[in-house]
Amino acid sequence: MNAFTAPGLDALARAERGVGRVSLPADAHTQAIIDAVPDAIIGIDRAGCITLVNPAAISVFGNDPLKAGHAAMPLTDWLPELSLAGIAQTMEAGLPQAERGLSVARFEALARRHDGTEFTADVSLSRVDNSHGASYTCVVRDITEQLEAFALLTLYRRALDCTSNGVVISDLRLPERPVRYANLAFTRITGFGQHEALGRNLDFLAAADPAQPGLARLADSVVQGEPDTAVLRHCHKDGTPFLNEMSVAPIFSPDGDIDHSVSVLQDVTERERSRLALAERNARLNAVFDLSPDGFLVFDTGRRLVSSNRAFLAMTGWPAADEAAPMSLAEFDRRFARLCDPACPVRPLAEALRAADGATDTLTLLQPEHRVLARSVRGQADGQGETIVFLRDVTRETEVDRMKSEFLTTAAHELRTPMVSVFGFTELLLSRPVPEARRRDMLETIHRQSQRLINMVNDLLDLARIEARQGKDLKRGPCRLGDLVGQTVAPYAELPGPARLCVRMAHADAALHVDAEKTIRVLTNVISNAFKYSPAGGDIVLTTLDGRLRDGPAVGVRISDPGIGMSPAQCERVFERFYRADPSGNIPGTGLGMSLVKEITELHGGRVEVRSALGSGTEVTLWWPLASGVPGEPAVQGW
Amino acid sequence: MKRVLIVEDQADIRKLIRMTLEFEEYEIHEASDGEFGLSMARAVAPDLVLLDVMMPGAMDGLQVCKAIKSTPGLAGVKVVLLTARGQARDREAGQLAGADEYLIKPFSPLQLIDTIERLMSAA
Repeated sequence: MNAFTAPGLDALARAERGVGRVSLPADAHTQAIIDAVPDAIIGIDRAGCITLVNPAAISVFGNDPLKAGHAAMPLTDWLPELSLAGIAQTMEAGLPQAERGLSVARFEALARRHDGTEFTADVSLSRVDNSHGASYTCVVRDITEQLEAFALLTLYRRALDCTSNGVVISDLRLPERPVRYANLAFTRITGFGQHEALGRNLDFLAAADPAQPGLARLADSVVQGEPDTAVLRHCHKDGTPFLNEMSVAPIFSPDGDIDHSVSVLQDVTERERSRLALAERNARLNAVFDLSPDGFLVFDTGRRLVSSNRAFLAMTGWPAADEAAPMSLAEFDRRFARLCDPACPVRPLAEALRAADGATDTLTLLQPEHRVLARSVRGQADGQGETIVFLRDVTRETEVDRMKSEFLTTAAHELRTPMVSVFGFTELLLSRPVPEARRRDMLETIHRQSQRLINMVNDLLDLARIEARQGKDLKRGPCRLGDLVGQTVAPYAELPGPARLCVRMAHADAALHVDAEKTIRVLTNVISNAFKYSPAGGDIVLTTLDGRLRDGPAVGVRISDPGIGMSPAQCERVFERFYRADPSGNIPGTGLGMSLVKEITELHGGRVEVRSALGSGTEVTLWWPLASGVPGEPAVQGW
Repeated sequence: MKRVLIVEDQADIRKLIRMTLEFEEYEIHEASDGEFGLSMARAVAPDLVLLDVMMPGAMDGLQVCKAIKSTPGLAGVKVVLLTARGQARDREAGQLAGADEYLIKPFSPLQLIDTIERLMSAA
């Protein structure tokens, strides 16, 4: 184009003297070009008025200043900044090209159409100096669109620099797939400047761990034309590792080839850390729920059972919930009601939820076995949010309560019975004269029954003290087993009744380090039980045995009775405080004897074994560790 | 002579009652458990039964009391329950069983004599 412009302008310059269209003696070819160029070409005389326009100028500005009958129009009507003074100034500021007497300046200027609208124009102004002075020609091009396109491009770039995500464009046409563009966030995330990334494959970020599978996967996906995302272990410029969630998408050329890819980077280290922490917390909570002996249930907002722990399943015997088909609250209430004791109606959970929050009530189950559960419900009365149901198995506490009150009744009976004799015979002795022989008999009865009272009170107090002191008040010393057993069985030797005690002592010299008084109490309790529970009589046999306790030598005393025995269930509870195998009170007792036996024996480092069968008797074996060390010295034992 | 039946598992308590009543004009019978007590009651048709509540065996005092009171010919027999249980609940159970009096252990022998005499004279 330039090649043609110069002669064209020369022609314009020559035509400057006259007023009219460009119709010059120049060759028709030049004229055709001038008429065809999309840029406006305008000639100006030395007065600054338009003397020449091409068709494009008329089209761009919307009027023809040379139309017949019009006064001469100044260039400032079209280009307001280009007064004669402005032109002169511009030419001086510009870079005049002294080329064949022609000076050219190029600049942007405001242009105004005939209708008053304005636009930005790219103006090329040339001055021709001739004998008449200077005259000008300008070529005007509307660059509004060009400016807009450029502005948009800048906007894209600025926008990319403002996003918090790193954006990188890689060129896939080269084998190295070098980075062509990286935004500011890339630098912020990775620490690498844009210039440090340009020209390199983006995987340099994973130099510390180039084998991680995510890298190859992303590269494959993009070649397949698929966008993909992976969390990669990348390294910051300073060496700090971070987790980079990278999404890569292919960029298609207009003819459908994949020529670039765009990668979006996000530092997700914190997010992943929180996610892991949350997962860990969840796992921990799940473990707590799972290990908890208390039942937990979670109902979601839609009142469906979404979670139930192992303890709950064990309580109810229900199979693990089908997660795909959560049970509705109504269905839950229906199924749960089937487990409950009809005699103790249970408030349905649906109803409990409507009531006060956090209230606790008690449920009695009969299925799969007798259980008493304390239920607390936490949720919102309006049914918004999750509902958590907490079930605590209080069967045992309830049972202990029941046994305690049973014990009080029994103890009252047992304590009052000897008092009948003490109180009654004393009153008789005080109120009437009694012959000497009778008086003695009555006093003996009072004495015997008082002794019974003392024993019982001792049992109770001992047990309470042992429980509180944990063996700190044992008065231990060296003892011969033969002496302990001998003292214990003496009162039973001439006992009237159908049962008889046979002692077969084989370890009379076995040395123990025990509290003699308490050990005699233990033996007495076991032997008196053997008598009490053998109402039909028979031989109660005491034998001694060798054995071991915690890898040390031990001696055992076994007392077998031919009595009524116990069922396995009764036998299991024989050491329970207040437990009486026969709750009818037919056989006197406080339910404390075997508790004492176990407590005292174990405080001595010993052990109690009970074997029994209903109807065929009971066998109790008491084990004590043998005293080692110098006779007369306290034994060196772990206990 | 009026007949008194003592149903009590504790020998010492039976002895106490026997001695308490020895100067009174009573024919004394004794039983050591509920079942035996009931058959004695049916056999000797006593005027009054002193009945322990908690006894070994298949029948406790309350059951024996009920059985006596519902036996034809024994409905007029006075029954005094001797019990270690003094709660209101226990007294109610005694009344329900048809007992005429309720003495709580330990009882006073002189009071026992008074109670028996009062019941006998009312009969």
